[in-house]
Amino acid sequence: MLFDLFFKTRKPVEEDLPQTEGGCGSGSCGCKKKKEPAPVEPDGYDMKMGKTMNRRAAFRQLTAGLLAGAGMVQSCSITADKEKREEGQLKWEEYFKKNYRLMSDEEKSKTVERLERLYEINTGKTINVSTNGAVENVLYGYAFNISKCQGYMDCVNACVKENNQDRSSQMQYIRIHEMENGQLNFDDADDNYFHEVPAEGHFYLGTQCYHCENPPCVKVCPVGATWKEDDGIVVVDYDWCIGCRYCQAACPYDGRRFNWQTPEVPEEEVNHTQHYLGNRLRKKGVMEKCTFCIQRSRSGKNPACVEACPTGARIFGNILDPNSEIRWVLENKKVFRLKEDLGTEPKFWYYMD
Amino acid sequence: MQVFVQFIKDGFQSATKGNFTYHVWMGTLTALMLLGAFAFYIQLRDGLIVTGMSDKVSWGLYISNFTFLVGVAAAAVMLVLPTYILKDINLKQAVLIGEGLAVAALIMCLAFVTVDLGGPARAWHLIPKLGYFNWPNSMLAWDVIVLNGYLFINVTIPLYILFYHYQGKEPNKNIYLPGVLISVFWAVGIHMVTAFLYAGLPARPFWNSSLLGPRFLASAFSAGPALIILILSFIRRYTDYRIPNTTLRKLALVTTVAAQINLIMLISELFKEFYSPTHHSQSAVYLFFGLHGKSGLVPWIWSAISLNVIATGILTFHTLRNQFRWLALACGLLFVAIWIEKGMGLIVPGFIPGSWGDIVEYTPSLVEILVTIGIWAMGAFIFTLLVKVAIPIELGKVRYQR
Amino acid sequence: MKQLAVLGILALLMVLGVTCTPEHGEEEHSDSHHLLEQLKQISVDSLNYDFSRFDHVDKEKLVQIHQLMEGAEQFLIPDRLAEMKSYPCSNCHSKSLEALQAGKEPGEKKSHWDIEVVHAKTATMQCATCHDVNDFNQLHSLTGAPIEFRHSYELCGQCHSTQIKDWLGGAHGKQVGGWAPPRVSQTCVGCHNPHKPAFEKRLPARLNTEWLK
Repeated sequence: MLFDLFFKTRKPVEEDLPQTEGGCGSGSCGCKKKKEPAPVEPDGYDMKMGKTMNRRAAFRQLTAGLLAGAGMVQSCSITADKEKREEGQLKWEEYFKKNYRLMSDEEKSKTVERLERLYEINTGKTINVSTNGAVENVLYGYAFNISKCQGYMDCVNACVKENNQDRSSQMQYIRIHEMENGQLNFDDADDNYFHEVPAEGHFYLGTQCYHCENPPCVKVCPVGATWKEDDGIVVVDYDWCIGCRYCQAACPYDGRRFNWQTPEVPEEEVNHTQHYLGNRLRKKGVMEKCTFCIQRSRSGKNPACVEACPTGARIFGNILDPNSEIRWVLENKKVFRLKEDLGTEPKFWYYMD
Repeated sequence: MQVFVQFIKDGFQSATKGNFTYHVWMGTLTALMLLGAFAFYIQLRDGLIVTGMSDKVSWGLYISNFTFLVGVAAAAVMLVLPTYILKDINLKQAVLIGEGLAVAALIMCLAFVTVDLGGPARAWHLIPKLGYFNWPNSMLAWDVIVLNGYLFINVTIPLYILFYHYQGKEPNKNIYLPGVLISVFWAVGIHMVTAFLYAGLPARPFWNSSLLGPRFLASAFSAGPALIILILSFIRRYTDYRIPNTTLRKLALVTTVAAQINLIMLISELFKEFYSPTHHSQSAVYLFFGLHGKSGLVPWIWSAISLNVIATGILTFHTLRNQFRWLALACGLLFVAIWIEKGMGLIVPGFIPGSWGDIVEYTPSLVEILVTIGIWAMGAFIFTLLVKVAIPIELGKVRYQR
Repeated sequence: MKQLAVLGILALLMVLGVTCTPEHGEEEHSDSHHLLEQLKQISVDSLNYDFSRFDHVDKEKLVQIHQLMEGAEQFLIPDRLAEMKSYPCSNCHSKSLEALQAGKEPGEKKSHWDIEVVHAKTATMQCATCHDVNDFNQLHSLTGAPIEFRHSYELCGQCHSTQIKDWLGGAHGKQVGGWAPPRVSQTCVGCHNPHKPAFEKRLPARLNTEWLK
């Protein structure tokens, strides 16, 4: 009875809500795909590990009982043991690896190999973890059109899928605030709406990590597990973070998310195209955040939220490039940023039509 | 070397011997520690999800206790300073106790930080050279240095003094006095650094105040000596260790002045927040009156303030302060008041309302409470051990036998 | 001795102060609130991206827009003609509008009976405002100049002058290629149904929440 108290019972958020995906097709064919909520299976290395172990142990017991003395048992457990030993070895090496910033190119490829192999051992599937560096002469910036956002939330869905965010805690990097016309007041904004949008007399404003030029979160991290890359993206080394959450206290924009438990992503939903500093699978007790979809942006693509937005309210680009759309917005529209007085220099602007 | 081994052996002996009450006390503490360890195991297994913390209120009971205990540790300096530097002999008996308290409090501090980590196994990343130490940018890196340094100083000085007294020798002042001098500044340092850890965050206007550092010192120098007064009263009643009245009176004076200053600073803060409230006063409004129907901390902070005012009132009147029963009462009230005010009353409202005005309240979970109790039990356990070893040596009961 | 103590505390504070000054390298950006000004100065005219990394744009089925304004950037748009399912229109509409209307049985449904025009008032717009009744395979401007279906933005821009300006610049509309050159943007009809251009109300794709413990 006492033990029950240890396990926090959480209220499930109406799980059978239809998740609709609106495409950006021509307006006449507003097709809505219904999606059944997929059964959430434990994932992430810790979870997988536990699961396979159980299955293996059960299997061994069974076979040992039925085929006692048969050579099969031995051969079976030999391969299993071999994998288990390899996994142990890999985890050991992973535990002692360096901060990503201090790694040589060789060390980077080694750790990527280990991560890919670990995933293969645990799931039988392959992932591709990139270590692509910043593109030269690029500084990413983002603009959000508050006249255009209609609160459809397609960006949030795309973000969660792209970045392998924990499904069980419904982790989301983006928050959409529904605000009443006539004021820009977060205190009275509705962050938990679920009704037909856009609601009459309201506008919508999205917040996420602003990738500040002067990021307070980076400054406070005691172990340098978070930093600003040369292209301006603020990233986290998930294997270096000790989980002190000082950065979360220092962020004025609610841009950071913590893994309070082992993140769960059903294997069939895992995005296998990953980046070391981006959407690779996280573990419990580490910080994560929006990375402008580093695995996409560093190969010229737009972040998932930009691609998913059905209204074109999200503009992304290189603010160093005078011919980029984002620069045109900054130079020709009336733009503003939030909490500018804190001197954080967000690279995330808002504008109106 | 041989002497040192014998010293450890004798120390162990006097720590394990004791009357029935002593064994019950230590047994209870051990049980609480085990319970805390079990709760911590659950937290390790399932993650920090078993605590009451969330992305909105990402620090809770652990960091609150950490903050408070840094103050208790720093307060040991209030005894050291007059004794060694101002040659005030009256406090000398209290010094070893104070330093023992500092050691216990520091270990508790480190424990509270460790249990708060999402990945305690990766804590080695904090070790300079071996890991990646973001110094001097991160105030937490500063805190790691000053806390461990302070722990080192407070372990070595009493150890050195006790070791010499154990051999019946007088310790060499030229050796330990510089250490004492450093520890004086260091004590102020640990608490200022801890205050800067919060005050340096413009994201949290409730903490982003230049008064936070001085306020931390004032509250520490009232809660710390208050606790020491209680402990000394207990020790002189139940052991042969003689602690003169003047010692307690001097300590009481320190406590009184610090409590008065603390109260003045509190008033000054309240004035700033409530005379012309701005958007930055929202946290204070939440703390003292509740916001949008959420008022979890209101009863706590008002009890803390009432206790604080009552205790400071008692201490302010000489006639009351000089009666030891009143003094003990005032010290107890003050200790509790500052624990609430500086712990939950400071850390939690810093996060409420959140960055975008959302109000998510925080209540510690059972696991969190058990871990916290476990760590306090560990602190009490360590402190008891230290005192149990130190007193017989100081009394000359335990001596090196050649 | 007391003085020494005071001095020591001051020294400690000074050390703290010195070491806590803002990080290096921020000088170029941190002179508050002028990031854009600074950007203009450090921008590189000839950006040398490593284009070999980018394979995000499939240039098939893309066309370049017409130069609409002086100095406006010419970028790529999805080719509307490739998207249209039944084109050329003259496959069905082989006769003139009058002939088609005349040959209709009483009660027979019109060709595009399902299309309801909810776009400006009828006094302002009707089918023939945009569609060329003499050549169904193309559109035409207000003055009758022919406009290809794939360049329908020229048509929309006649009235929606601010939108077309924003669209050409990049503030209106949707990026569909990637952030890196070459630029590919969605056209007006890529997002707006020209017959009913306003976005419709619908339920959000998901509940806007996270676990709020």
